[in-house]
Amino acid sequence: MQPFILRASSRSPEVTFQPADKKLWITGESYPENVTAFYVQLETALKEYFTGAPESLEVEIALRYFNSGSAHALLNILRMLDKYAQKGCVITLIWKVFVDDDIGREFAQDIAEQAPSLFLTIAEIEEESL
Amino acid sequence: MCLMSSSKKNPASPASASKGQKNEFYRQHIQPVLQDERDSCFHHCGGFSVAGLTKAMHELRGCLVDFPAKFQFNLNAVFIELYQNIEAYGLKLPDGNSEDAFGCITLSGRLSGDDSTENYLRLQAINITCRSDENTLRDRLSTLSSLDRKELAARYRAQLASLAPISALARRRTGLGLLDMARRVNGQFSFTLDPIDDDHCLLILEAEFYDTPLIPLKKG
Repeated sequence: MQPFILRASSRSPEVTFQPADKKLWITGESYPENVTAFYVQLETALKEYFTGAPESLEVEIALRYFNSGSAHALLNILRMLDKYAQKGCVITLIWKVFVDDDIGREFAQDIAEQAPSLFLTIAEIEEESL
Repeated sequence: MCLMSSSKKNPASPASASKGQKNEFYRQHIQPVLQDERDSCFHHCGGFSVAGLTKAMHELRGCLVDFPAKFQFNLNAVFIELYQNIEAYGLKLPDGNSEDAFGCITLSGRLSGDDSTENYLRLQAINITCRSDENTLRDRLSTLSSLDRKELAARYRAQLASLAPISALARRRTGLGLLDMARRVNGQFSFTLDPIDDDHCLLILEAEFYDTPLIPLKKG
């Protein structure tokens, strides 16, 4: 499977999915003009990846902020990943938030807890690194 | 008759919307409740469109460029929800010439105190809603403004859990937007809902951010 990449815009995050490395990154800001159309592309790529019955996937999310529509779309993707995790794929979710950003941490926890079969790590990072 | 902005057929440009704001409805109902534009660093009044958010965000960022990132992120996130709320659910000016939802968002505040606890920034959003939605909206906003931080978090989690998978119907309500805003605001999150004629109400949402760093705002 080929790498799947969506370049960042002023309103949408950079999405980089490297199936060979079993890694997915979502970074930047997320309030796309059409949330559904944006994230459905990633969903399609992930579904294709899982047809190969992979053993694992590492997902890293580092979003400065995301709107409520994006929260719904991320929830959708994590729920989908949760189903594959329940079938045996080891899926790790690393959600990066700022040091001392309690609100960012809470949002990450709330969304991630809807996908309990993923191995969640919330990592704190400095402002400059996001 | 009261029609939601989502029923628009031929969206007009924000420029034509701003011309349309100089009408009687605007002068009578909107102008009196607007914060003074001279006291604000950011002011957008006119048509709210999907594409218009990009430009508005660019201008808002310009005002806050010297603020710490975490402070910017929460304020920006609340601004996005306020803007999208007006764009998706607000009404056009009843006697305006634009088909876009009409609204005003202003960022102003006090940044002159001796210490940061005396300073704040305030986002004020004004839009027109259907009178028939008044009671539902009032109940919802009253409940939200009475919840403490833990209760808001619990409500947000419950709402997330209740959401069905996203569908191709892109403009579905998630019920998360107001909750998201209320959680991000560390000061007052308040509302005013005033009937202005038989068909329309004016909704004013205000979000205040306390502990504001003493950094001069730049005009957007």
